[in-house]
Amino acid sequence: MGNVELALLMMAFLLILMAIRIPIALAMLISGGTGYIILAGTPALLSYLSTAPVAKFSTYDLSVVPLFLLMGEITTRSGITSELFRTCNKWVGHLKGGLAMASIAGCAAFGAICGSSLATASTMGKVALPEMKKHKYASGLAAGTLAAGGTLGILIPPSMVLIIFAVLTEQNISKLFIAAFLPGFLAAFGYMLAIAIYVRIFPKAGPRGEKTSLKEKITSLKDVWHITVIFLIVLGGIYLGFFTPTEAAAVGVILTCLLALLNGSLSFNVLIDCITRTAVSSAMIFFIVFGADLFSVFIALTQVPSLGVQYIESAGFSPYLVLTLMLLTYLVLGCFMDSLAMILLTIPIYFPVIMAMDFGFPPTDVGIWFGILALIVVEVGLITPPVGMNVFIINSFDSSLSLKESFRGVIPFLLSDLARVVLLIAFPSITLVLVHALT
Amino acid sequence: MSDTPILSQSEYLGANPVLTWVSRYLAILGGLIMMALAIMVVASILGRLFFQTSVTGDYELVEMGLGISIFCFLPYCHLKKGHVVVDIFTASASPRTLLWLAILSDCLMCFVAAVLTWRLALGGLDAYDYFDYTMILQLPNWIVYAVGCGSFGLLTLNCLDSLLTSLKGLKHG
Amino acid sequence: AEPEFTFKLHHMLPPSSTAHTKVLEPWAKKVMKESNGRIKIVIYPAMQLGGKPASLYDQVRKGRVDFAWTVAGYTPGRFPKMTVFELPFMVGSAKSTSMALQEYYEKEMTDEMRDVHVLALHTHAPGSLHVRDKEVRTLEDMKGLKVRVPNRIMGDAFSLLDVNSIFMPVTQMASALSKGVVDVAVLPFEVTAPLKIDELATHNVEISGKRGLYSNTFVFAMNKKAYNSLPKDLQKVIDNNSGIPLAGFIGDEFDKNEKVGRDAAVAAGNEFYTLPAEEVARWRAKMQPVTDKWIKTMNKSTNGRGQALYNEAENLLSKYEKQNGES
Ligand code: NA
Ligand code: NA
Repeated sequence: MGNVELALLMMAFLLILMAIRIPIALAMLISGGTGYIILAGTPALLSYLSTAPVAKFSTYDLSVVPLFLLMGEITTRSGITSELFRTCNKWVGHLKGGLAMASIAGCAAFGAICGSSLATASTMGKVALPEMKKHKYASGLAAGTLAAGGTLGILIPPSMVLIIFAVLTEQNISKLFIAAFLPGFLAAFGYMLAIAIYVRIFPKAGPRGEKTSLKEKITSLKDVWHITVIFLIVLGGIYLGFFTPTEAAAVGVILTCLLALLNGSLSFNVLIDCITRTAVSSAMIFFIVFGADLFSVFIALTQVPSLGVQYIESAGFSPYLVLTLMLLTYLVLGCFMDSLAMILLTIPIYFPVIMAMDFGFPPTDVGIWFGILALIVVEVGLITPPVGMNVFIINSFDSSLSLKESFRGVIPFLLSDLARVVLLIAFPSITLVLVHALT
Repeated sequence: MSDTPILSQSEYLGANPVLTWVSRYLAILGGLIMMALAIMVVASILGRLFFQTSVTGDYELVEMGLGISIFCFLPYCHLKKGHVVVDIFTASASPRTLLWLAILSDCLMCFVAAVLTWRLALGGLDAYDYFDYTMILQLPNWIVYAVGCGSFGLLTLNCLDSLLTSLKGLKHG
Repeated sequence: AEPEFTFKLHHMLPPSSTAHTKVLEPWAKKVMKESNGRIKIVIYPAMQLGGKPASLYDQVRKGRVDFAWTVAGYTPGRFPKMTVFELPFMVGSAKSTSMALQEYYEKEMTDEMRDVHVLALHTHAPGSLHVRDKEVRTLEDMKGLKVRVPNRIMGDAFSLLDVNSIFMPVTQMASALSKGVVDVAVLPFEVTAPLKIDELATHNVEISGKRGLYSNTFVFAMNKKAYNSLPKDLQKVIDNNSGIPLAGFIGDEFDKNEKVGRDAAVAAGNEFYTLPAEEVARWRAKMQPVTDKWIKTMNKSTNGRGQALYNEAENLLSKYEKQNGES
């Protein structure tokens, strides 16, 4: 059996394990480990296992993951997010599908302080899902809105995935953050548009809310001062050179704690509750990171990636075709894998290939542009079946909601995502204009 | 995230109160370590900004502390059914099939956790023997391995416990 | 013909790096050619086989990979004798320093690396200061600056200059420099170009004289069992491609690449300043306690041979500088 066949076989094994309800991380460890043994022998695998968990769990760049999750928990419990949602609702709630649009706006605002999609989805989901249910929203639309809205946590900087991407590719993270802003807001706008069109076709799915006066709208803005303060300090701190984007996660957590203490909502018991919830989701993510590491080491051992790159180079594909193929692989992988795992697995292979191609603009720009495109397609994976982490999270809030219904509700947002990717490929300047203007 | 309704009505997988208690407080300890790290990072930033000093080895402390925290979280995550499971292909499976799959999953998890307990013990001994220290503060890395070994040991016990619970379910169902 | 031995070579840098393209790839090809294709070496860059850069030495020691190339200074407690080449103002060109280091290893410190089959130890070209937005001309100009130091010994050395010395991973450095979380990076030019540090820190401060500020030490090693598994004639092929000549070859490549990196900074219009001899003497004097402390510590662990080891390193370096026509 050749290496290519072995790689395919183990991928199939991985899928089978996942299909029979083996936890994803465990499935990756077992299939990756089996492949590793076949290629390098049991002693080598045992040696890998004796250090890899420590190496993966104590990685500085990943420290943002649990910190952003904790931040999400604390903001939820302190009522900061429900105030945010209420304010957004005052502004757009009277429109058809207004509550759903308000959820997207809330996700976008929360995404501007938090760099994790899962945290954003669960934070806004807890607040907005019951509201939409109360107002007789179609449950599919409600779940789809929040699952897709959650991805704004990563699409709008700060962003965990971008930090990891910058580390892997030695790109300037500040430039990447700046580049992500326009596409991020475009995403929020696209989602709202998707809702508007959807409720036009299915008017019953998202009824109008009550109207509010302009005065009410304006006074409601004072309720979002918490988020605004955190946003200004975090962004200002990064921009003025007080701390790095990675350190900003710690600053965000401490600020949220202080604000929650200030409004009296953070008791010791609440804090402990936030901590245990963070513990569960952090362990879940890091266990997947570890499983993905073993699986990607196995893939590296098969040398399939470099064979693929050689093939692409010898086939003489055009740069845009190669780019499209790569983005398509993300869509396929994204059906099964976590976004972080995908980035860790593919970027070391894809990035050098992309950088070696001529897209007609400078390589530094290509690096940033590709990073943003990869970020978007990787995030799409969070809402595609069968493994869509955001959908799982939203689904877990409502026992009456079936997964099928939730995934169906995601479709309009997927279409919006695809349209955006095409737009950004066709017009790289959308991504690059702010970078050129500000740096 | 994906509940198997037939397992138990309790909030936790498994039934042993001692294991549950230890796992929960270990997770809380891990979380407090994480909070302490966040405070340390902020102190380091403030020191750098206003007092021309910073916490020596802050990056190393974050790495070590983070590793310890994550290890502390793992056993609790298992008890809270925190691991992501794909349930789309088994959505219409019978409770009995699901129970069998849960048993298979627990067996595999138990096996992997036990192997990792053993490997991390050896990894820790190796780190101890070979002067594996952090670069700036010269903190010994075997500490992280020791926590990891203990945590995977506890995870193994938790898996055994939930396996027993599932087997009981099989008998009664 | 099919290769009889297929080995894995693991390292931490991207496949576009000099270490990969100019050192490890040519070396692996040469070994393959001289063994008539009987030894094949597959290179895995960018930590593709897992772990952190600091764990590469352990990976080759335990045989998880057959070859590894890594920074030896990641684990300073492990190779104390070697750190003499990390002391401030100790090193010269990468070529001479690497040859001296390799001979020093063969004479003095085989015990420290007895678990692996060392192919060569080497250094990079001496590093310099890359300052964000300040002109540094004297010791006093450094006061209060936030300095990213490359290793522990340089951390101790810079702490003596009233600066705030910070150690952070290379991956964090560019973003820290871009907005001024750190003011100064202490690095060779060979690193500044790929990390785009030269765009961020445009004031370069170099050291006059033939000795530079500092260097990191690297080790290129083979697993012992893998080496012993080879028949005598193939061991000979490996032997022909290791030792002092290999150290000199690698050092030379790093020197060349340093020039490429420096030229790029010149082309970018960066500002250059060379500390004059009398100013260098002041820096040297200020950092001297680090060297004194090293000798004292080594005295304890080697029965009073600290000064002898230091002199040995110094003499070897002078010897190779003369041999390579640098003095
Ligand atoms: Na964000
Ligand atoms: Na998916």
